[in-house]
Amino acid sequence: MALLQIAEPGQSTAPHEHRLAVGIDLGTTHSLVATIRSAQPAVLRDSQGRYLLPSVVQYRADGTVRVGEEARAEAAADPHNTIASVKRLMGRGAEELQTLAGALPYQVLAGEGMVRLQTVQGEKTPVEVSAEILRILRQRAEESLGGELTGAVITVPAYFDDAQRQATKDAARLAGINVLRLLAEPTAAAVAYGLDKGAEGLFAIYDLGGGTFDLSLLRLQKGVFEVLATAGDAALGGDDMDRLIAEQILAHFAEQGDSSPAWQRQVLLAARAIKERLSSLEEASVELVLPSGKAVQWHLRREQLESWIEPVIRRSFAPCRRALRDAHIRPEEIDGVVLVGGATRVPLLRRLVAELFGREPLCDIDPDQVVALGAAIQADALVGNQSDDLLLMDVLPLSLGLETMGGLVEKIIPRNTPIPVAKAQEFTTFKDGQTAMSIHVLQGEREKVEDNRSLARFSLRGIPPMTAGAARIRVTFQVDADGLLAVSAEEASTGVRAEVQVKPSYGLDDAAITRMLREAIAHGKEDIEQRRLAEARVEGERVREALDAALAQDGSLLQSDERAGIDAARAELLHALGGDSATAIDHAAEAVEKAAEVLVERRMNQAVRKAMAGHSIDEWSEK
Amino acid sequence: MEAGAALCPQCGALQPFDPSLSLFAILGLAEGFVIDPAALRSAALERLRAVHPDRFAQADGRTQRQSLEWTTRLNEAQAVLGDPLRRGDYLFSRHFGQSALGEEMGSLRDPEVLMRQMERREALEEAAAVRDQAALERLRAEAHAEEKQIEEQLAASFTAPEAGRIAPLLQEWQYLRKFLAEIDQYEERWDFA
Repeated sequence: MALLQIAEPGQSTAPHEHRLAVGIDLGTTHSLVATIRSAQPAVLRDSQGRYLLPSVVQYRADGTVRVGEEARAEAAADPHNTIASVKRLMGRGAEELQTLAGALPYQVLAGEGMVRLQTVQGEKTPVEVSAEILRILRQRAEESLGGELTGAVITVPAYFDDAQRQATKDAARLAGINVLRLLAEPTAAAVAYGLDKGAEGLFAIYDLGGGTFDLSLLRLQKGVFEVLATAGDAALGGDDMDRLIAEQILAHFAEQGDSSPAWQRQVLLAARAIKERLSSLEEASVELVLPSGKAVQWHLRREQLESWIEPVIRRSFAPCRRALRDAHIRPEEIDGVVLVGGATRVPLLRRLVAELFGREPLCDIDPDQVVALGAAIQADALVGNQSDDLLLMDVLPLSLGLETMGGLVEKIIPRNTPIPVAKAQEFTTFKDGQTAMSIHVLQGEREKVEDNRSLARFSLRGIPPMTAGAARIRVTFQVDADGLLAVSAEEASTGVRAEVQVKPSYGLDDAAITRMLREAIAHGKEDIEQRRLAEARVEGERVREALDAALAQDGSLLQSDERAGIDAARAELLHALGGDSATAIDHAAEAVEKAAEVLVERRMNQAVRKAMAGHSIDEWSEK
Repeated sequence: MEAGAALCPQCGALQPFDPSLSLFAILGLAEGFVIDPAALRSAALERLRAVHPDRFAQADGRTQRQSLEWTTRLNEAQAVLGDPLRRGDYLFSRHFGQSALGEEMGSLRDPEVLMRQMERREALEEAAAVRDQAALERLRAEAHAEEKQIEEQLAASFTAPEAGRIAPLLQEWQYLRKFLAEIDQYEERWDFA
């Protein structure tokens, strides 16, 4: 079935075959898709000319799903089933949410592993919600490009950890998209600038999206994009500014407001609207409808807004300095600062970033589009449409480590190491005859286990029994070009491969993904069956009505055996219409038409005779 | 395109990964302590272009794995040989069969060097206690200057390698690196506080 064909990548094809590849920016507030058209990257628009798809998914009681603008319009009315900013939940556990998005209007289910949301259509993981968004973008791409996609490059914040990256890849898989590469958002932006503007030298890409912040330092040189260091905050974005403004609005209307999700949503939307307006205006107002039904105006001056949001912007500077330190670069060595993400339209942000780096930032390419455009360029290169030597070299954003004695973390691969990278570590047994051991992999910069992200626990089984300390188990940690970790293990003295069982801490294991895929396939089939059945019923009913009308009018034209044949076929059709097989309805309707041919013929003849009655042939031919 | 051993010289197909190649050999560089950073970079880029997973995004699983292995090793070669301390220790292990920085080798014994390191650490703690950014910068610059000196001494020592002469230099350098990392950590703590 085409919907879920996951291509077994087979390499070369005919040299001139143009493969359809896209870049997808799966954002916190908006998502979009771009491709290469006539050698130029361009965003793809929907039938109404819009290219930004709000990253909002609404699960409706009737079993349907709405995505985008239509879902966002329902956010205030149906807050529990309308999921916004799901990117903040990707690869996260329920216990982490307090520190993430603040109060979430939807119901989060407690439990181990990745967070689950309670909707009217049952429990949904962020992976499934994201897959709905990706499905729409895939449809948009296939409709406007007129064919099936070979694959897509999907962007992720540079600072996304392994669990968040894996969750993104899983979402694409669920949406039936062959992921060519996960690409860091700032790197994608650099590609767009490097190719379009011919930028060369050292660049800082400052990317403040709706919910994530990334700073990457890259060296651009003749098609080589080399990330020197990256740093960020996976829970800092324009949404935080909106929330600060919203808090002010809520405080202002504390008397008249209430705690309903609908009011909270309305305030949040108003906060975003006024922030956007104050990017070009010195002062602005928004209208709000109080829970009492009374409409009120809320007024804000840019100066006041800036005093509220400055701390949010300043929070991004610590990661900036960390990246500079890691890359051993002084701000004055930087040749250009590129702004990415809608939140960088805020004038105060531009001023403060200019101060930090000592130069005016660049924003020639639309900060909403630049990431998707860069991803499209890479996607095109990855499917072999370009012969240009494009080389992207990225880094591991956060250190990988292992739990050691006393709940401490031992780093095995430090942050900002170029990927792909592998590191082997040897372990030994501490008991005679020990045949298994467990290893806890973490990601982060802190010393204690609990302060880092738990990625997975591995149990190594099948270690040959030996005296304590004799076994030498070599565990290899391999990070691929997508920044994803894989682990393999081998007992070095005997060469026995230990079995590695992965239990992702926040990801979905393969069994869960397979189950979701199966459900998606089943649903897809169901959907198609449903549609066919509905169509067959309409057609069957039309045939029956036409027959009944003809019989009522001209039934007398039939001989009794002819009439019996038609009646039998009609009874068969009625029976089929009562069932739920589209094929049976189609067959029965065909049989009715066949049986009724004689009636149709007689009626035609009769009609002709009536028209000619009382006239001679000659008369007709003279006319 | 010069791609070393990774590509078949006739057909250009990616070859099975060869783990026996040294980090110098994989880059086609002569084995030695002194390396021209520009030559290292261009050798690495040339080879990475040829074997990088991005070139094989549509390839079969086996080819993709080989690409991953070659690229991983090239990245390692660039990282190790690009850093004179790691390069020095890699060369040391090629000559003497083990790292100079592992536990087996013991640690610094020269009392003069040890004393210098202790004084340095005290100065850092004092500066950190009062958040003296300028003092931190001064200490960092001094450490960088000493790194340069050690690098020169190593270059001379590797012309006729003796473990007893090279190991202490590498170990002293390792101390300096830890010291520099501590300076970074103080700054980072202040930043993120």
